[in-house]
Amino acid sequence: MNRTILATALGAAAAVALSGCTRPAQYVDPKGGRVMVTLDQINIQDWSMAAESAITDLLGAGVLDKVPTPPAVMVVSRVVNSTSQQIDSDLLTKKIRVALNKSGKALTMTTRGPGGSAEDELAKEIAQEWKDLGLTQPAQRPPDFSLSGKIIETYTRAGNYRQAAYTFQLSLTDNRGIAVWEGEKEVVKQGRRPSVGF
Amino acid sequence: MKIGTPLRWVTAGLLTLAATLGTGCNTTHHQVNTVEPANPTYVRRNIDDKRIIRDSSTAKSVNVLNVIEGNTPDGLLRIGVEVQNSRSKSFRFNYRFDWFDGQGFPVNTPTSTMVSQQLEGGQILVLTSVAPNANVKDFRLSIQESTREQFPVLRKN
Repeated sequence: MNRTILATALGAAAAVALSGCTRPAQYVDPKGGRVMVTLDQINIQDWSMAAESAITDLLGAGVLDKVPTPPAVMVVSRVVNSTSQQIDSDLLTKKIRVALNKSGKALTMTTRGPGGSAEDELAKEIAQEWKDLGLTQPAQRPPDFSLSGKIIETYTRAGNYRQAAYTFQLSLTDNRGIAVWEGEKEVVKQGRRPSVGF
Repeated sequence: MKIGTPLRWVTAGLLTLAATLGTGCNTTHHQVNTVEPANPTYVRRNIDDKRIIRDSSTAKSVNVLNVIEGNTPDGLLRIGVEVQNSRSKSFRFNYRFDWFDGQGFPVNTPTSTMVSQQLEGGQILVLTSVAPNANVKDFRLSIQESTREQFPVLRKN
């Protein structure tokens, strides 16, 4: 009788455990609180939190209105990656650009980039065509600001516990070469293993 | 069995209990003390707010003290929600500001995202956000206890 009860209990426990191992895929809100958190990489909510902090700080500083003809024109310069990962800094800068565009405070020039590159090569060719043909077009002007930055990773380990700190540094430089706004956001994660939710 | 043995065990138990309670008498749990001017020079513009409490425990740990309204130098609405952890233990939570246009529709902005925050016992913090554009005047702040789980618990659909 005892063996039967024990076997039944073990079987039920195994069934419960195994059912938890098969996790069907499902969609989660990327802006919600149930995305995965890992220590060995920058997660999407880390990018979101860094961008949110930069946008709130930048809009709150009020520097973008101090241009001769608003809205300001901005280009995105280099964002240096000082982490051990391969990352695309557009995950940060695009969010900032979207927010500034929607605020009406700054527009981004996509035909200029670091080293003469352009984000949109076709747009650059079209702009050149207009210029070559001498067609009427809105007056072009050099950018008012340049956005640059750096992402730094600091990793600490104490026994089984690990801590990963990502520092997002941004600078907004005007046409005199002076950084009129600077922001820094640290995202620190601790733990022994990944989790869902934060 | 000797007559004094139960008394010895009772005494040992009481002493252990006293030691445990004694260490537990320091119930500060790393709470935060604050010092600020008695008459601050800032002038706050507090606004009335409507609260819908679904989680009373979180409402105690993230107790909303004031909702402050202001403007950025270039005219965007800025909101600050001053919160305090009324409990003695630290509390981890997420918060998110959503913004609404003049017709009540949500405005899609990168700043409408969950932000993780931790409040120590007694700590006071101001959660801030800036409106996405000059035409946006209404907001909603969502506060939720940390949703961290070590293993995902997914319901079968």
